[in-house]
Formats: sequence, structure tokens, C-alpha cells
Amino acid sequence: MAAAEATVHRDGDETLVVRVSGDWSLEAAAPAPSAVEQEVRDAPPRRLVFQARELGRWDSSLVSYLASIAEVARGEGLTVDTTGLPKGLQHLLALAGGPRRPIPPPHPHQTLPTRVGVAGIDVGAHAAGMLDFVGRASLAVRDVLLGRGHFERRDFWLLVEQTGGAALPLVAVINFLVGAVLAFLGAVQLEQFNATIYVANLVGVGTVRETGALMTGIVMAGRTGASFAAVLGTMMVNSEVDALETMNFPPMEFLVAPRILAMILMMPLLVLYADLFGILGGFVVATGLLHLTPALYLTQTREAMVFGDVMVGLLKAPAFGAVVALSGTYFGMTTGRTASSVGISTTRAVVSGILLVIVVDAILTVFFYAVKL
Amino acid sequence: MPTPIPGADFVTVDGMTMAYGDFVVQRDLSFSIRQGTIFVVMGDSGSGKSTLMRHMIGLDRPVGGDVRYAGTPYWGSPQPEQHRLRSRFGVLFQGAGLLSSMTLSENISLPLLAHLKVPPEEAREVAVTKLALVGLGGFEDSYPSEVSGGMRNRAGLARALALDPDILFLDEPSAGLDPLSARHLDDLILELRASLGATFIVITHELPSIFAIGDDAIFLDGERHQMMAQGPPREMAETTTDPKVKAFLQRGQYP
Repeated sequence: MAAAEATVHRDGDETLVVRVSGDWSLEAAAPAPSAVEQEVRDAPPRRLVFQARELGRWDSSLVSYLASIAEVARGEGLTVDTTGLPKGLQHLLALAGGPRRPIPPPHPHQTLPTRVGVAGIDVGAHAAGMLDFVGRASLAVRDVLLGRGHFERRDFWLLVEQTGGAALPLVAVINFLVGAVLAFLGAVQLEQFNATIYVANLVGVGTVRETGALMTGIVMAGRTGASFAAVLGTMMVNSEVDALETMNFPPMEFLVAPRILAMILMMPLLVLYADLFGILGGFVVATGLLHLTPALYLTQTREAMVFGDVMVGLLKAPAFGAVVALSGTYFGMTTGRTASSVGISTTRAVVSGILLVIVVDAILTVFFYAVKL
Repeated sequence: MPTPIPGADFVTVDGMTMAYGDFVVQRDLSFSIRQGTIFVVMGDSGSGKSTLMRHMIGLDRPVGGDVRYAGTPYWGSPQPEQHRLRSRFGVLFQGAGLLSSMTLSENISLPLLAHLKVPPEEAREVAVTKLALVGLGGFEDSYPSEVSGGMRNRAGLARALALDPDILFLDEPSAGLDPLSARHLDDLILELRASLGATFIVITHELPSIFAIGDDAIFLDGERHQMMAQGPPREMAETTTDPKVKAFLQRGQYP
């Protein structure tokens, strides 16, 4: 295989001849066009002639080499003669020689303050959009509850099943384990005071006041919030939402309201269920490893908890359900028109769902403390 | 909407400018569509054909101008009037836009159940009839994902026909179809026009379709962002002076 070569010589003052020879391949080193281009720019002749008498095999490397030179030459007002090249190469050069758009400059490097600012504006826009969405969703929920909205009963029960029953195994496992972890944590500390029995208090009160609702909220953000965003996002991409709208089905009533209602309805039930499994997790650890008797543990649990403790968890539940459903549906309904935008929406729905659950939890915890519940 | 008069101007787009943010898609579009005709919107990719449809059916608000249906402006009307106008539209979206969680017959029954409060059995009967009309008898209980792209398009057409609309908007009905299926769809559109007397607005860049079904047409240019030609397609092909429209239309062979 002969090396790729290009020689340049002047044929009188008017003509510059570029002769290419050897085997041109993308895999092997090839001359750069810049030397010839420099020559064209420095002392522009009238004509540029390409010749290829001893050319071996060639591929795109030669095409781009010649096209680059030809473009500079045309820019300087030269005529370019390609008749000395093989036919195929001539055609390719003619195709490549069409008007080229200037390559846009690469994205300028953004400084840290700029990036923070852009991200801030983005968050602000989403916050405003979400606030508007919450308003419209509330109106839609009201209309549906008053029986004025378009509402598919069958869809609603399907959603109830998806958000409620189908989530049971996951909610059970997570809360069982969290209950067990709480028991271990408590055991290590309380053993120092010979007060292992108070593990029951820690697990019982901790679960029904806090972890039962919080863990379930987070699980639902990852599970159902993501599914809402993905389903609605795909419907946006497939024009299904547009189709509903042109058939005079308001998407807020038809798609968003039932999802929010299903979540608000199912979350307290899920949390109640989560509480049972959390306590069960603590129970298994306490009786199996800490040598407490089942009867003692259960009695202690019952005495530790008051009705208010359970109520705190159950009052948090619908609030968590609402924020998870709202962020899922909001990001679903604001999905763009490509497949990748569904992925982006789903991610955002989960992230903001988890974030909002924890923020709402913090606010409500302070609130319940203030009202002494 | 007043009763349409055959042959009279029925849909009028009046100085409509469409933009997304700062990007102007089309500037100052004006044209009229006669009742009972098939009106073809053509243009290069990205010229705003689908965008025009979205603005005409009330999904996107134009930044300027309006569209009038038998004299009633869409965007200049209050919401109840917009809903009344919309209920006279049948729309086939690109890719059909069928609800994937419902069977074909449920998709078609949906507007009947919701808007006409038809009893479910009767709605299903109508759905079955509409599906048979587009050659999909026997697929009533299939889901959109279970049928081919061409069948989805036809089912979308059946749904667009569900409420016996006055105006049908079809966005690339034959996109992705083999020439034979595309031809059948064209024949179907012609038959439906003859039997229903509806007005069709069809977005397509399939030349055989344009010449086979188009009574009138416009050509949108995606580079200059304006309408370049207007008239019956054959006439346009022969008389246009715009090189782009000429190249577009004469690429196809027409008798």
C-alpha cells in the first residue's frame, strides 16, 4: 500500500495544480488540507486543478481533503477543475460542494454563576408552571367530585388498583425492613440502660408517626409518580392528549384528576398497611434477637402509642399522595414530543416527588408539634 | 355553526401568523376552503403543515390572525363556542393518536358516549359500523398496538368520523404506508367525501395522493416561512413560477 501523498505545483502564474497519489484511507495517515489552503489564500491563482494519475484506492478521507480545498478555492473566487479525478470522486465532490452552512460555534463554556443562574431560572419556571398546574388540577378535581367533569369510572378503578393494591408488596417489604432497622438501632442504645423493652415504643411510635408515611411516600414517588409521568408523557408524544383535547375531553379532568384522586384515596390505606408491617419488622427483631416475649412486646407497643400518633401518619398520607401525584402528572403533561423527553419527565417527576414528600413531611412535623398532636 | 352551503367558502384562514416563542413558523397565511372539497396542505419538512393544523383545530393559539368556520372566528369566540366548533371537527393525528389503553371500538365509542350520551350498546354499534367503513371489520376488540400502522391510521380515520363531522383534518394519513395501502386510503377519502359531503383538509407530501384527491392546495415554504402557491394541484404544477414548488410537484408523474 503506497502512502497517501499530495503535491502542489504552479503551472504558470494562473494555475495551481494539486496532484494526489497513493492509497488514501481514513485508517492511515493522510496529508492535511491546510498547507494547500494556505497557499491558495496567500497567492491566489485563477484556477485550481486536481489531478490523480497515480491514485490508488481512496475513500472519504480523500473526498473531504479535496472538498475542503475546493471550498477555500471557491471562496477566493477560483475556478476548480476536477476533470482530472476519477468519475466517482468528481460526483462526490460535486455533491459535497453545495452551499455549506457555517458550523455554529461550540457552546461557549458557561461560568459557574451563569450555570447557577440558568438553573435557577429553570427551577423558577417550573415552580411557576407547577403552581398554575396545581390550580387547574384543583379545579378539575372539584368538577369531577361535583359530577360536572368528564370522568371514566372504569379508568379510575384501574388507577386505584394500580396505585393501591399493586403497591402492597413493595410497601410491605420496605416498611418491614425499616421497622427492623429501627429496632436494631434502638436496641443498641437502649441496652446500655437495660431498657430494651422500650424498643417497642421506638418502633411503634416512630413507624406510625414518621417512617410509615415517609417511606410509603418515597416508594410511591418512585413507583407511581414515575408511572404517571411516563404514561402521560407517552400519551403526549403519541398525540393522544391532543386527540382527547380536540374531542373536547379536558385532559385535566380526564387524565390528571383521577390520578390525583386515586393517590389521595389510596395513600392513607397504604400507610395503615405500612404501619402494620413496620411494627411487624420491629416485632420480629425484638422477639427473635433481643429475647423479648411476643406478648410483652405487643403490650408495650399498644401502651406506647396513642390515637394521635396514628392520626399524624394518616394525616400526612393524603398530603404525600397529592404531591406525588401532582409532580407525576405535571411533568407528564409538560413532556416534549420526543422519546427522550419522556425519560427526562420521568426523572424529574421522581426527583421532585421525593423532594416534595420530604419537604411536606418537615412542614407537617413542625405543624403537628406546634398543635401538640 | 350555521349550515354549510355546498361550494361556498366554508373555512377561511385570515392573516394567520404562527410562532413558537421567537421562531416564526409561518407568516400571514390567508386562504379559503370551499365546502365539500378536499384541500391539500403541502410543503417541505418543517414548513409548519402540522403546526397549521394545530392552530386551526384550537390546540395552539396563533400570534396573529384567526380562522373562521362559516363566518364564526375560532380564536375570537368564547370557550363554549370554541367547543361547539370543535365538536364539528374530526381529526386524524400523525400516527393516529389512538388511546393505547382502549380497544379500537372503545376509542371510537368514546366521543359518542361522552358527548351524545348514547347508550353503550348503541355506541358500540356505531363504532363497529365506522370501523367497517374503513375496512377494519373484525378488529373491534384489538388494541392499537396489535394492528399495523396502516390499520391504526384507518382506525384513527374511523374515530375522526365518529361524530359525523363537517370538517375532517387528516395529518399525513398515508405516511409510512405502502403505495397500495396509500392508494386505498385515497379512494376511501374520495368515497367518504362523496357520501358524507364533508370538507377535508389533508396534510400530505405524497405526490400521487396530492394529484388523486386534491381539489385545492397550498404550498408552505419552510425556508421563507410563507405560503408560496395556492390553487388546484395540477394547475399549480403547470403554472407555478416558483422553482421550489415546481420542483416539488413535477418530481411526480401526473397524467
